Amino acid sequence: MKQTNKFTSLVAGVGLFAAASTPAFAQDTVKVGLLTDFSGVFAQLAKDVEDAWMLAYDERDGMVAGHKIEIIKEDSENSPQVGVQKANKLIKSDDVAIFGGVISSGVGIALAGVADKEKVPFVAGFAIADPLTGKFCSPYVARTSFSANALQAGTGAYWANKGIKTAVFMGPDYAAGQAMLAGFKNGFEAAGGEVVLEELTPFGKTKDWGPSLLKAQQTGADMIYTFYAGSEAVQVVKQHAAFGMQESMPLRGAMWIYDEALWDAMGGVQMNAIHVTNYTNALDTEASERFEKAFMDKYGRLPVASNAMGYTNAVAIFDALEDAIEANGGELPEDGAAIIDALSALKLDNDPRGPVHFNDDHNAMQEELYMVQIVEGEDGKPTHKLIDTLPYGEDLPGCEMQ
Amino acid sequence: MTFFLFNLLNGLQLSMLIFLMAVGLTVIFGLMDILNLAHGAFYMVGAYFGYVVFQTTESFWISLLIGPLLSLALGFLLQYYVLQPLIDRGRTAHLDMALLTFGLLFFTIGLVDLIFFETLGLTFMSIDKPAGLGSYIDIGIMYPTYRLFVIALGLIVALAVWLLLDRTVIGAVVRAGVDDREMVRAMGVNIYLVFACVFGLGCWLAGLAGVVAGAGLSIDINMGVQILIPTLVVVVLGGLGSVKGCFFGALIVGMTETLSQAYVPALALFATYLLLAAMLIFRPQGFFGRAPKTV
Repeated sequence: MKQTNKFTSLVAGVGLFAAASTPAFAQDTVKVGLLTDFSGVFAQLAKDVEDAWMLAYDERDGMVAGHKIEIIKEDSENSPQVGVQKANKLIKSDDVAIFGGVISSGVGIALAGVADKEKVPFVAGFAIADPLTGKFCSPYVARTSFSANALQAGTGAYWANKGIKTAVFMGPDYAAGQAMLAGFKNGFEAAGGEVVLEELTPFGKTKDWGPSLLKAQQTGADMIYTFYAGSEAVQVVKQHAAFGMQESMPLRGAMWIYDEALWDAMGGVQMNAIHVTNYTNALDTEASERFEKAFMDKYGRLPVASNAMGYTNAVAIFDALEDAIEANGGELPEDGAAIIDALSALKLDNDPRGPVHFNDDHNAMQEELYMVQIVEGEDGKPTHKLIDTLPYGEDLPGCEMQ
Repeated sequence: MTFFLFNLLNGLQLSMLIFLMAVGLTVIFGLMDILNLAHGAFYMVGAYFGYVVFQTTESFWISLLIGPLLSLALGFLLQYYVLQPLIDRGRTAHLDMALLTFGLLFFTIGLVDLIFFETLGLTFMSIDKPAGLGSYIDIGIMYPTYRLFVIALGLIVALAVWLLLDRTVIGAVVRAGVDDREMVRAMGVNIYLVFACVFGLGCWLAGLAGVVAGAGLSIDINMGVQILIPTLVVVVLGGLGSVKGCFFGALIVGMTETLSQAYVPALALFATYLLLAAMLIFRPQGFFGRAPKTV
């Protein structure tokens, strides 16, 4: 709850006042819930998503189809139980039209259940577990990030096509790590590569990566592919460098392992590392330059991938509301599924990540992924350099929409 | 074969890091009968303050020297002004102290989060290794020099603590305090001051471990809680209050974790706890602990 901020209470206060004086005016407000993991291990990502939401909010002057948007923020604390409780609060006592955000896949899947039961639309901002728009797909659930398989299978195929024959996979031994491994293996092995060692380490309990790195060394594989985030990522990258393996067996992965927020902590060993991402501020398309400038103007720093993800999330929600309200003669539709339908029909051609559209499972798809290298920028600080683009992977099947 | 030898080195490195943490905890428990769950907080304070010092001076060595001093000072103050007065008022049960110090651990985490994340926007930090220890040497494979440094530091600290407690007058007073604190007071020793000093020293060691981990691993908000559990396992294995036990306990835990991760990954998550359970069943006082006093 530490993120309950003045803005929310101010807006809530104004809303309350308006409701008391002129009931007609109150109907003009559309309430949107930003429910995400403000505390816990995803605190940084949640803040990134929040910043991007506020940028998207400002860009449309807080209005959607002639209605005032009221954002109500709640902290799901990276806990499915808390998330469900807060979602019920947003639905039942705040009467939100739609809610989004959410980093954690565990929380995301729990919220998909709430959305489906209460028939209030939910749009995951991150939560990349495949089943969210697979087994748990619903007319009331959408996702604006991507699925683990789409990202990792695309990347696996890319490396195999680049002549990497053998790889060691290293990752934390829990749902996300296993999903990333499966996705990478799908793409890598279908394109002729072989995963020679699957090294899954106890999540949050591992104190030393030495044994795993030594095991990887023994295999003589061409590269190590990893999925680690946060402090685990810092430690793996540092220790991999300390064992002198950067040349002989490069450590690769997706944006989490070499996240910008970790660069200071890595102390330079991240230089020249190559990883895949679905957004980088090194992109120079018109849409990404515009987003970069707007973000820079508002926050005084360059946006990162999680900002872009939060931005897509907010823009998709606001645009979907706009379309759904206009289609319904200026009023919010009775059935929240109409908003998700409107969202699925969106073509976000100006998304900073590149054009984004939605598939039949209500999951975001983008045209390509980006291979980036961390290099020294003009100011001497590390920065991204775009070195290649690669085709986007596919979602896993498994959705039977009711 | 070399794979096995290098894993032994890795295991030794991890053991020494855990030992630095556990030895303070066990000495505090042995002398004062306080189960100090805030020990993880002192580890964290050492690392964060070490980071601040490092940012100012850009020197690992100064950070290693000064970082743990804040842990020492806070530990001293905590014992002298908070815990001792509470004990004097009769709050001596293990549960009282465990609850209080556990609360302190979470208070510290919240406070550090407020300062570093909420205010300064820092989530993950590290202290850079010094020039001589940042690289690796070829001893069959490329082996990180920093790991060799951690092993050496752990052995030196183990020797120093053992000498201090076993071979000096200060050590004699401390050991006497463990056996019969009333008699020590009657001999004219300000036992409260001794307690606070030992408490501070234990916290200093935790802070030292924090700075060492801050360079070898990383600094983040969960570090204090994460290290606390293996530390408690070591203390229980070795026998509460025994430095020698603590050393062997740390070796066993470090080796078990490393070797299980290397050879039987499926066991890695619970091998240590299996050991702990076995120890509690067959020898609840630990390897070198004394059977509970019956008087």
